[in-house]
Amino acid sequence: MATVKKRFGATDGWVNMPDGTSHYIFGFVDITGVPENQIFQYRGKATLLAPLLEAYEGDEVYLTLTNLGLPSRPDLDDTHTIHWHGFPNQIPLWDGVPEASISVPVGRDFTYYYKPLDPGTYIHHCHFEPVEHIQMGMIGPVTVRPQLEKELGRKFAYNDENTAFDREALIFLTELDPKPHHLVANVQEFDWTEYSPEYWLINGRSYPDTVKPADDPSFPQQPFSALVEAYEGEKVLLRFVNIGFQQHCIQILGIPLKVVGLDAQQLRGYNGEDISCWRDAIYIAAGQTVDAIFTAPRAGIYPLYNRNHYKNTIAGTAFGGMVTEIRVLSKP
Amino acid sequence: MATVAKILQVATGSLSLPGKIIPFWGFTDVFVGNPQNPGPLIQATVGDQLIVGLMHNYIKFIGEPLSIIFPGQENVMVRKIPWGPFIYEPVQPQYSLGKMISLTNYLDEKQDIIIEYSFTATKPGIYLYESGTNPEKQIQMGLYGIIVVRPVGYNILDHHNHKTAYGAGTNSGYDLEKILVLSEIDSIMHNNVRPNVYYDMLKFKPDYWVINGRSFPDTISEDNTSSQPYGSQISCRVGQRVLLRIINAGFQNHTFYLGGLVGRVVAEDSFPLKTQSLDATYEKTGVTLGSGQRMDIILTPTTPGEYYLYDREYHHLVNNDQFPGGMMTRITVNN
Amino acid sequence: MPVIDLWAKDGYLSTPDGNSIYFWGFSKSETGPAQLPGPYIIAKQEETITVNLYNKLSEPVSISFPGQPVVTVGGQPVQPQYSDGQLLSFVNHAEPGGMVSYTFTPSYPGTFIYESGTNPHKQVPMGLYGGLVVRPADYNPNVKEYKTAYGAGTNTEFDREYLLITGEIDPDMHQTVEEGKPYHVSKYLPRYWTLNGRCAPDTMLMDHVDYLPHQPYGSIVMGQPGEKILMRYIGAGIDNHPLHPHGTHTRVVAVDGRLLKNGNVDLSYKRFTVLVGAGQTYDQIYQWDGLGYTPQNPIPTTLPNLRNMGIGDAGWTMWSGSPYLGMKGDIPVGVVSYNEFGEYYFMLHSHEELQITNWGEFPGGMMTWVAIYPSLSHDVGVLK
Repeated sequence: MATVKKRFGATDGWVNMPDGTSHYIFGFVDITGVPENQIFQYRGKATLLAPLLEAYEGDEVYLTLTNLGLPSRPDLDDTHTIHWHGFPNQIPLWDGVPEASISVPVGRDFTYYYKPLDPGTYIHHCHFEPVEHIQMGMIGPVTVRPQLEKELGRKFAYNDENTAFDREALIFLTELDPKPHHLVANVQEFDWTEYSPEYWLINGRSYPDTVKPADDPSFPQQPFSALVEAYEGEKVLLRFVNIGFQQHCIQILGIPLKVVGLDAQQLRGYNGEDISCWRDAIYIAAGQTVDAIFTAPRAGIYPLYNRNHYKNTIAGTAFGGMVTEIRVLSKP
Repeated sequence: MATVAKILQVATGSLSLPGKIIPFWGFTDVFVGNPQNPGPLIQATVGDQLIVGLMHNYIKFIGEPLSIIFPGQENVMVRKIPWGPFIYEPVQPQYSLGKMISLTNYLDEKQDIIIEYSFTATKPGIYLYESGTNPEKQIQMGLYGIIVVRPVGYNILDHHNHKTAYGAGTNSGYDLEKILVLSEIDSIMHNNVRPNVYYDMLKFKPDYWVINGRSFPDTISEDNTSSQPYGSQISCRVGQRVLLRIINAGFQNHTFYLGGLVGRVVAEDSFPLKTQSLDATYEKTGVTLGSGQRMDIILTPTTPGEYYLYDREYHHLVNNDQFPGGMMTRITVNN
Repeated sequence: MPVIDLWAKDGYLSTPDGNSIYFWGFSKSETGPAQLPGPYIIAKQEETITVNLYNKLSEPVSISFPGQPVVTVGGQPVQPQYSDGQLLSFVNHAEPGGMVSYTFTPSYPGTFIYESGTNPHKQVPMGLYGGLVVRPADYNPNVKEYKTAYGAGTNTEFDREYLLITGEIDPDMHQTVEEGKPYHVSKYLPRYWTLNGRCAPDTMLMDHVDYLPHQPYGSIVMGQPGEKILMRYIGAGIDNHPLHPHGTHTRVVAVDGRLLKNGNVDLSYKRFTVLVGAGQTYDQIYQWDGLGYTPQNPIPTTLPNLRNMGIGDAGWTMWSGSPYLGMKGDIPVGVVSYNEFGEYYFMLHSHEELQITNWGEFPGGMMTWVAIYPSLSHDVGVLK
């Protein structure tokens, strides 16, 4: 069992949409290993999504949260936390709910400790005034890898050879309502019951940006591509996450999905019954995750989109939004 | 194994809703005929080769590119006449300037006469066919329909698959069957959509909720030859197994409620829940379907009477804001 | 034969931000207050019960019991009711000032909803709904293997149980009903989200507090480490809500009052967020086992100087000040701690986060706590 030491900074930043607009965000930035006298260079460099937190089952994870402050809102001294959403048997100290333990003020550090025992797809997010801090972008993926991967030297979603895969991709769903982002940037209040998003995002981007490379210089603060590439016949694990405030229904045209896990639990009945199931669409609510595997069919491009087609838009002006592509290539 | 061929055209027409008549776009299988919602039912048996053609409508044309996608089907092929490709090739999303403009190959009315999609019906079940071009607009305008694929032997007395939705051993045997296609209609959008103009989907706000294209009480009228030909009233006898095939063709989630009765869910997204190794069927008083999802439910009423089946999101049981209406139908159980 | 009397009448709900909202609800007696949700009905499998509905409202009211086979009125199965050929009620109703008597024999144990079947687009959001729990025929709370949700041998034993009913409120719609104006569903925009009829932080208060006469049920969930806590969710509103309990997953054992079991095949599954669908019920076991830390087996991190940390920014905290269950530590001066015995608090809330506000203000709405106590009386977590 390894020890994983990570350090995330909480700060703010800006993200770009395909219509040329930019939107103010709160978020996290990975400052693992950055010398103490240089961490303040990361102020204002929050990313959407927040950095991936990844560990093996049984690892000891020390995750330090440093509140770097919000350079675009110096007046706002909100504290932050990290909530590992779905961590079984958690204790309040590391659960990141400010009303039930500790939050981290500007300029301070706090170290969370996790020893994950259940593989699967989780979420991490700030739980301080969560309606605001989640919508503002303090959200990221968590992957716990099974021991079986180490034993067999191949990839699995869970400790079961039936969950083998060759490649994996994240399909992390959120919405963005520009009004609260604008109001927060301008020191104004928003009535959250008026929430009405205009952008629907996969991995923090709106199509066609979703298919651009992770390191595309147009998106310095949106480092997650949602393009899925595989060779014919390969098994691909899609890790679906919904941490928006709406329910979504995601479909891949021409590819059925085998759901092997929900909420970081392999689909097994009480006595170990295999209750994995097939779907033509993944209906996922806020705060849920779904692990689904498909076998890459013949070479070609397979669109992935939200069957709530009104969400496949760029602020009502053009097609885009919660759309990406599965590109299957002929075997080399 | 047979070939099932269906030639469809898209045309503009009128939908009749309680208190309102609105324009819509629909499929028709009659040459320059009136369109309908949902589109013409396509029926096939496992192993059949389906060919669904979409032909240019010179008379009642929409005026924008058209296509059909087949969610739940694999290995769909396409060809076009007269400019090709003549030999079937795999469907592909279409691009302009590097950006997807259609989820699949489309009929370009400037040059194409017909586009033909073809695939083998490999699994029994209920499937949508629907627009893959400007789907946010064209599906809402009415371009969707149903394909039913039945197991081999479903219509052969003494065959072990006789009168089953998914074959023997899947707990899907039935005495009568009803297809219920759920959707919602934004009448303001219908009145304002223009060809080749992007409709601002942030304004999408449905005001009618329909089963098989009709709002209650029209749902309980008989089948007819109007642009909304399919009723959804059900009549059965006590003890009969009624197969409800529920498809959410709308963009919203809907909770289809069985009027206080309890049904057994036997298939989800046309994957039967009972297999040789496991019986994962389960009972429910109502089922929530995400957009595009399907469920097959066996309902076996034990008490005579009338029961209403409806969207448990009660605000969808209105026409012009008034109850009763909307996404509701009725089952009459006789002795 | 048990007889339940329910009186449909009106009243005013109280919200934590000081609003008073007109509503319709069921009351246990002619003189008692209308309540949200209606009185819990506890029935027993195979034991016939009668529910008498007395209608004190100005329009017809009925009660439907989804999932109960053969509800009768006057010896006949309930039937839809029409007025001038137009559907009025899904089942027999009581006219204003009148009454109707429903009789049924629950054939399945489980968790069910009861709700108005008349003008349901208005009457259900206005508050005419409640929860029905049917005990299995072999239920015996004094014998562990018979204290179950679905009968001995169904893997549904529990130590404590809680009913959590979700709902939404659009105060403007309620006001139009109060003023007798047309009820336009197209104008619906909820501003409050409720658990057992209350918005947080009122959800955390005990049952039957004096100052919430119309909202008698709290929704704080209490238990001990390792206990099986049965959570019975009911989606009574018209929207779906993803409820997420912190602390651990729940195991979903039944939906809509039907056990997820076919013969020996147990289809129950674990989730950390359950989407509570409109009109549907979910029975789940929540079992928090903890991580085993005690002062003798200390946590592997150092607790920072709490003066440097954010604790109780709102002026209050549910924290004990200690990482250990049953221990208390220092809480900064000026912060009120509601922690009594070093218990652990885990938030349980809708993850459509705008729903954990009261008219947009966090904290509020569809939110409560799961509290894990080092020891807890057996009287807590009993549905009566």
